[in-house]
Amino acid sequence: MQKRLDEMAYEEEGVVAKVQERARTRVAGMGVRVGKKIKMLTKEPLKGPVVVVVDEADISLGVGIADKIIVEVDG
Amino acid sequence: MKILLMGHPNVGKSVFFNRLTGANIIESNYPGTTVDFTKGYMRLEGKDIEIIDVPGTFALEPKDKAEEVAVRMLHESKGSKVMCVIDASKVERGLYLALEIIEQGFPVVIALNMWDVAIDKNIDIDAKKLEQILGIPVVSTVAISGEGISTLASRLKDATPVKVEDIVERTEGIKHKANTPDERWALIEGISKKIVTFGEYQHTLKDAIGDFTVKPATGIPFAIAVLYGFWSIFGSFAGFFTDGFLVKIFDEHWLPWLQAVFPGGLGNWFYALVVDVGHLENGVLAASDNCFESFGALSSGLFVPMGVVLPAIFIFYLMLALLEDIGYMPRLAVLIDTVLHKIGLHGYAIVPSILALGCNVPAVGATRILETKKQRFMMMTLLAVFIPCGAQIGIMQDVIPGSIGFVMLYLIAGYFIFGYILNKIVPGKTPEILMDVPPYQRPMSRNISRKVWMRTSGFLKVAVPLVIFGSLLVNILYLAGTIDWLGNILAPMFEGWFGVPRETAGPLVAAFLRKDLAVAQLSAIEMTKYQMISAVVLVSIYFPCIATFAMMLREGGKTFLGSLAVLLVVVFTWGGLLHLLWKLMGVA
Repeated sequence: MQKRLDEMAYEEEGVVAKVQERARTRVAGMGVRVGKKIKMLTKEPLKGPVVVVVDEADISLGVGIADKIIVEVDG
Repeated sequence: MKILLMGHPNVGKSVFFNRLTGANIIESNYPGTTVDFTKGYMRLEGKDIEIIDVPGTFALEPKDKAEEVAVRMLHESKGSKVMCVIDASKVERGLYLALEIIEQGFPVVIALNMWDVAIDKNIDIDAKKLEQILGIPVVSTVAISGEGISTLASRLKDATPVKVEDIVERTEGIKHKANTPDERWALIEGISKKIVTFGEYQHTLKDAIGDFTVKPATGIPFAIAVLYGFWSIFGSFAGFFTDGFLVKIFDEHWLPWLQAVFPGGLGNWFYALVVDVGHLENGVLAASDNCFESFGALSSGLFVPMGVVLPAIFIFYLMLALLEDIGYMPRLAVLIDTVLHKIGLHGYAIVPSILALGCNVPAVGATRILETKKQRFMMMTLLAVFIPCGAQIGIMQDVIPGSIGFVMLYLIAGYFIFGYILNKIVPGKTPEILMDVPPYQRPMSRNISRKVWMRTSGFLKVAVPLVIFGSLLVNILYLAGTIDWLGNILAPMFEGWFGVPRETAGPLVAAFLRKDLAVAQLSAIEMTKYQMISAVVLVSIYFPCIATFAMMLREGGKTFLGSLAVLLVVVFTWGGLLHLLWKLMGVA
């Protein structure tokens, strides 16, 4: 099942399936790329940023970037 | 030949730079410490070679002003060699940047830094093989302890430009080129498979604390506790030293001694400038008994920076250095992003905002970590207008201890309200936050002490001469009658609109030079508690001190005029509103 990164639940893990063109170069340098395992660490309330784990590094992304990343999750 | 030191933010480039050049550069556990580049020289094989510490960047597509500087520097430095510092525990991410630099045709050496951290995380990297595949020198280093640094320097001569196609070929199994982000990543994954083995990663207590302090349910209460703790320690430490010791030393020993030995005596104009202007008691000129009221360049002029502000500045920078080094700032930025995003800034605006509580000057420089022109303009303006500096807060704590909380709240409210309005009317984009949240680390005492020393001594070097000069200038203007003249002309505005005595003109002139001096001088004017609050708020929001002024001009260029316009509007509305509030409460 695919969902947007900002829709993932706490502690949910998945694999990046697609990064929309507009966000691709911005997140590439931080290690977010198609095929990479990604884990949702936390989401700040009121549409605040999400914090995800990629390659054991914590990265924070605003919702406006997170919603351009599609993740394949189990179930 | 020049050498550019490049890498992600927060991988220890500044430590490298210090080791290679012997210079003093501040490093912090958050991105953006090096927002401007730093130049130095290292000695290599009998020659002095220029080396540049480039601001950290994740990729060569810049996303903020600091990264822009990095990319521009690279493009302007054809013919230089690049020392690319990579966090060995995040080697893939680092290789992405390294590949981009190699693609540009630069000779590169790679430092796999934080090698010890990689070992702790059971990450095993075959540096020799990586060197083979890339065709450039690769050295494992631990910059903090100095391990590998001299090897790295000696390998610089082996760095030659390489073709990415050759790397692709040596990696084997990769068919395409590496021109787009996706292709680049495919190549890195191919390389990584050959050189890195990731062992089982044990989550540590540090990681658990890291999670705890960034998840909203636990992180927000924790952040409030941290900020509250910061504030209480700041207040009690500064109060303890100022009231407990320094006030006594200055009032009971220094001032009487000056009064006794300085030639001239009360009424003499030179004595008034330097030691004590005195005050009228039943029509007779009497000597002052404390350094707040004496106004002399050597009495008040020394007491304000050394007696009141120094302890405040010291404890502020000590605690800030601890928070920075531990790595708390990025987490605070994530937590507060929600709120700041609503006023067009983003979480990272917390860094210049908190720096400004120490001194507005470096804070204006730190606005470079924000991404767009709009954000930088807003941040610069808001902090210069609404955030009182550590020197001013320190003296406020001594002069208006009971009302300081209200003054701070009133200023913070202004920061958000005017931020909200500016966000609506200033054209431009407010991009989303995108940043690395580095793991916590144990603060290094050497780093902390150097940082506190550099910042505190920087304060003393600027503040003491300026306060002494400011005292002299205001005294001369008093003696010449200029202040009274100004006060009388502006009286309708001061008394009618702002509700403060016309004598406030003097401190407001002083506020141009130093805000701490201005607040100290306010304390010598007779007025009600509410007038005092209004006057202190006016000192805060009206023109920034001269040093901040200069920095805003340098950083903001033309947008400085915009800041000035905002400032004028704020002074009249926000200052006048307070008077209205007092009227409604029946206290004005």
